[in-house]
Amino acid sequence: MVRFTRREFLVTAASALGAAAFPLTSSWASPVPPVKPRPTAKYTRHNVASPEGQKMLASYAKGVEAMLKLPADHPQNWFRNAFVHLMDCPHGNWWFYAWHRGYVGYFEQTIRALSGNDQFAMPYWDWTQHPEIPSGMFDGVLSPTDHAYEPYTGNLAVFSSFIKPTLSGYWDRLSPAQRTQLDARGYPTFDDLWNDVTGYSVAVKAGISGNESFATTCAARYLSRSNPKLDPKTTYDVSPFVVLSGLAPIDFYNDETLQSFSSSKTPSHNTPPSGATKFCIIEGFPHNKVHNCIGGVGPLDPGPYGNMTNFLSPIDPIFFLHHANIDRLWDLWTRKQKHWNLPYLPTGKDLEDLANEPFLFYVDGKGNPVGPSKAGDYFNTEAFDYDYTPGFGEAMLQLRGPLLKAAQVEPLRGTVSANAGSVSVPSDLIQSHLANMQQKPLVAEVTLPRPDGVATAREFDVLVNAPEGVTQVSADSPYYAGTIAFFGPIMAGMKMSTETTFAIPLPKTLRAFSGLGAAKATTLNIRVVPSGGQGGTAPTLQAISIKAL
Amino acid sequence: MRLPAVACLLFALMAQNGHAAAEQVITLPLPHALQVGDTAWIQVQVGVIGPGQEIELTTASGRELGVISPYGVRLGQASGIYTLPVPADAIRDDRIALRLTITQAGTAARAPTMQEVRSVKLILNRDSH
Repeated sequence: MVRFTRREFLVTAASALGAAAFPLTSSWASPVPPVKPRPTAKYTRHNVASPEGQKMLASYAKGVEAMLKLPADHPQNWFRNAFVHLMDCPHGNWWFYAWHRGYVGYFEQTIRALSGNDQFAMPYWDWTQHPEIPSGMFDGVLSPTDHAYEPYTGNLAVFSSFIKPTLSGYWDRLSPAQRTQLDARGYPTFDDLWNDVTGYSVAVKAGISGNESFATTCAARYLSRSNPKLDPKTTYDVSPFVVLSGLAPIDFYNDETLQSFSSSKTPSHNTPPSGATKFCIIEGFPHNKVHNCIGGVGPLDPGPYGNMTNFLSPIDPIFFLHHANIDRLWDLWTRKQKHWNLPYLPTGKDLEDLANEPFLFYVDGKGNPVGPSKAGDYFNTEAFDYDYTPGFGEAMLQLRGPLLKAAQVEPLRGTVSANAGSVSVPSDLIQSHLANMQQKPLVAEVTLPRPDGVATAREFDVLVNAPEGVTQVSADSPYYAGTIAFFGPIMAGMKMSTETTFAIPLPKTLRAFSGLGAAKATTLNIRVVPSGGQGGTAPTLQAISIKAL
Repeated sequence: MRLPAVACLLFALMAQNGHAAAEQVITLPLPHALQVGDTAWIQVQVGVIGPGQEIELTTASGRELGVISPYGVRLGQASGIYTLPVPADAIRDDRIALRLTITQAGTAARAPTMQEVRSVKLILNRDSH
């Protein structure tokens, strides 16, 4: 079977994601080029940073407020909805994506019904592009620290008197199948469940603050309007490099973690993580770290933390924007697989096991129990008839499919002198590059330092065999290979690499490739100039090489 | 056919007898030089760590490689296996110098014990056909 290798994927995707080029060694991406959304779904989930996303936030707030006002015995009460997560959410296993798709999907129906906006769709928070909590999520009921929560979460006694009696009654009415699942989760009795609310440990006969899922109103979220940014470590865990690595696997499940899009295969979605659990990258890093950072892991140690750190995390409305983004990445990964004619689900017995897992705790948009549903009901977005506007990673779909594998060629390393690179490329390699449209492209890797804080130019055009006097080109120039775009300056405290390597696929239309003649090799002279009349000077080239992807 | 891992190195690490060292750098040599198509990964098996504790991975020079921040792990359970991509340019001279640190507010960062981090693997991966 023809496949992309992971490195090929990362380099290629990175190249496309940065429009013309992308820094392989940096954690910052250029803005994603515009891609039209697929116009097929009834509902569209927008980036919360967009005007449409902001409108959705207004509806979201209305829906949250309505849910807060529902009595505790109503299945759509805000806190009852959060308990669905505490009682049933899978983590560290291959049902993570499907279960949360169902959970967010039914929740979205509820907000649609209670907000009065029949077009409501959950906006997503693209933390890779915007590593800070969207400002609107500090307004009113969209923050769990708002005074509207105080009648319920003012302290643990208040919360207990509000929710515990009705929750205990709900427990008593659970079906045998639901109780069996809760047994597997470690909740054979209601008291066991409630211990995870209070943090009480039977083993040590004491409360453990870090294990307390309840959070008092004033401490329900650590990040605040005046301190909205994900910390630098979390920012790294949501960086393009980590997220692209998580999207790179071509198997939904593989025993080898680094080739698996999903986490461990377990007997039940309620199997708690253990020492043998293998976390896939998307769950293990962006997902986990964003949860914990917002909840205050680190600054609030040893707890109690804000809601996001434990399993009552859906009490914080940011939960659903976070998981919409995780869901978007699953959708993106699925579309990538389809785009490349690769399977996007397991096969055979594995598929049966994955698809037939019962999910028994959902509540629909009308407040009714969904009843027995299966993981397979949530394998695609048609279940809730939505799609996403493009976010980080979307540009990978502009790549060609799993094409014929190029003969592996060691990088051809060039020399750099007087801020120009020179590399000799065998003519037969160029001819192969030109002749076969299925061939993977030749790529120039250009290494240069990130502009320092006082430099004005941030984008640079890469020229190939341009005459000496040419310092500006348009995109259709026969000397133009692409544009390198740095995003932002070196960030304080980010430990960013100052030396950055970009991969630039070489257009077949370069004049350097015409008239090869009989020579065994062609010399490519590569220069980098400020793009589009930005002025300033180009950084000093550090290295040049040519390779076939 | 894909080769899931062309090389795997298990590193016995950290302080003896479960006592934490103040700080320790471990150096993992590659089994061979990185070649076209290779990607490098660090795989960390995490034992039982306390609520709020995280494990930070950096190169010896301080470059961030990622933070393991367990979520959804029941109290007293081991935290599982986490796999991190390693940027190629974090590898110098066919080796990576790695620092693992247990972090928690209010206490000094320290090296993990053998109970907290059970193993660290350096994996090179290459697809072949």
